[in-house]
Amino acid sequence: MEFEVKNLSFGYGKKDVLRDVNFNIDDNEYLCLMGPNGSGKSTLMQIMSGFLKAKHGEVLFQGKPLNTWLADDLTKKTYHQKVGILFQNVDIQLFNSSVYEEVAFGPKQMELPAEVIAQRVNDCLALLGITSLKDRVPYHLSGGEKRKVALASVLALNPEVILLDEPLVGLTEASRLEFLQLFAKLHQSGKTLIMITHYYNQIKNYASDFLIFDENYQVIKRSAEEIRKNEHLLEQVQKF
Amino acid sequence: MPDWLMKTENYQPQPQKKSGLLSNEKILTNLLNKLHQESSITQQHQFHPVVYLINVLLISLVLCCTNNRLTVWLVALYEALLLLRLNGKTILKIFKRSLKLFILNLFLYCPAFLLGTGNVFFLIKIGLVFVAIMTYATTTSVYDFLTALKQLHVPNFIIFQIDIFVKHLHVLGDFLLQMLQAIEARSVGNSSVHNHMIGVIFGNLYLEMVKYGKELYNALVARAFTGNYNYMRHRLNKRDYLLIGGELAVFVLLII
Repeated sequence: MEFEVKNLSFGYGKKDVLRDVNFNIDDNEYLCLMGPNGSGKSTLMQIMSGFLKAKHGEVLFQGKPLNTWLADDLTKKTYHQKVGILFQNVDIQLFNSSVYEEVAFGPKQMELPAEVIAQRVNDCLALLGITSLKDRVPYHLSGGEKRKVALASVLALNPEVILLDEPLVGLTEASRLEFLQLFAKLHQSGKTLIMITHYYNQIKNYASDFLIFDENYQVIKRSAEEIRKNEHLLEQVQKF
Repeated sequence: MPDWLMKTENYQPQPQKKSGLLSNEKILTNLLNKLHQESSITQQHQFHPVVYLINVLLISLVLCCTNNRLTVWLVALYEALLLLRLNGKTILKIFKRSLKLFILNLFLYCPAFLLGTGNVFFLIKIGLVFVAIMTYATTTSVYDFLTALKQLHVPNFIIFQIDIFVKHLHVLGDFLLQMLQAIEARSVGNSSVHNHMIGVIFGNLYLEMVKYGKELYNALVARAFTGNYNYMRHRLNKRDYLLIGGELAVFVLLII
């Protein structure tokens, strides 16, 4: 089991966003978080990323409470290596002077040998089809290219779980498909993917499970198969 | 798919000195929370923006001008009455903020005591001014402050500059916080790298500031901005009339 979320509640000021949420995420699951705006998807992802603390309840990662992972500098670093995050705003994620340096940032932090770093960076760039951008300045790239560089820099850490905060927003249909095929490959290679998205019709053939949020703080987890068979749920997720 | 990406990483970070860059994240989060324009306190205890601003200006003026001990104690009593309408948590917050300012002031005033020219009465007056200002700052939103300035006929360009400045602070602070989080998310080992990144972070912040500034200007042009600052009109209620009564009393003290 990768994540166990038990009786999780969170609110901003007096306004509740998440109320008594319970679900589990297994190893190698491809989970999509779907729901209307303001229903708590991003807040949940922020909590799982370790940037927000739950007010009540707890989140366990690989059997250990998230607070324990984040309490100490070393375990926090281990957690961030195991759980990669692709932010919605990729501009904040690109802070190096070249695409190569950007992707190499993680492996360099891990103090891997120089040849291993070079190998990892080249593999990641090739996987995303951006080898030609290697020497470019990330800030000057297009939105889709920036997102690919950001994803490559996350993959270079070889995380077990990848949190994806609306990775398909602002992309063309063709780019979305390209990303979805890559996510499918990562899923097949054993990664656990947790993604916020509003594109049910495009994701339905790839995701294994869905976490559905509604305005009344209700969060339910259903398999892709269950959603396909349930007309009410199907209609609901297609509206998001 | 490369082989290494299909295997579980067996990585153990080595103990390192904690990065100074990332320890700023908490400070920045607190600062951003303070910049939030709307808070539960401001909604619950609102006075008319102009009446409330005049009130704090009048209190400060009286305390600065008077040397009469009775006047100072009467103003202190009036301030205490204004504080009574707030809940305990808010009062505590006001006192904490005032105390911080007071300690800073005390530090600056220390040489006067060392030279034998220090005046405790002056310090009490300063303390009361800080409490009045902090009460206003804690219970008033930036928008109400700007509305009051507008109604006091402060020129539009000054109000506009303050408004844009606060919005810039908020947007850029948020951007900086997110960037620190993104760095933290990939900082899985050697933290000495961070020290070389401060320039890059500020470079990105500058680029974002320019971009935001241009977008804001274009948005203003697109909406045919004329330079007039519009505000919501507030009506005086019973609470405001009570405050005006208090202000008149303070004004009488000033004349006496």
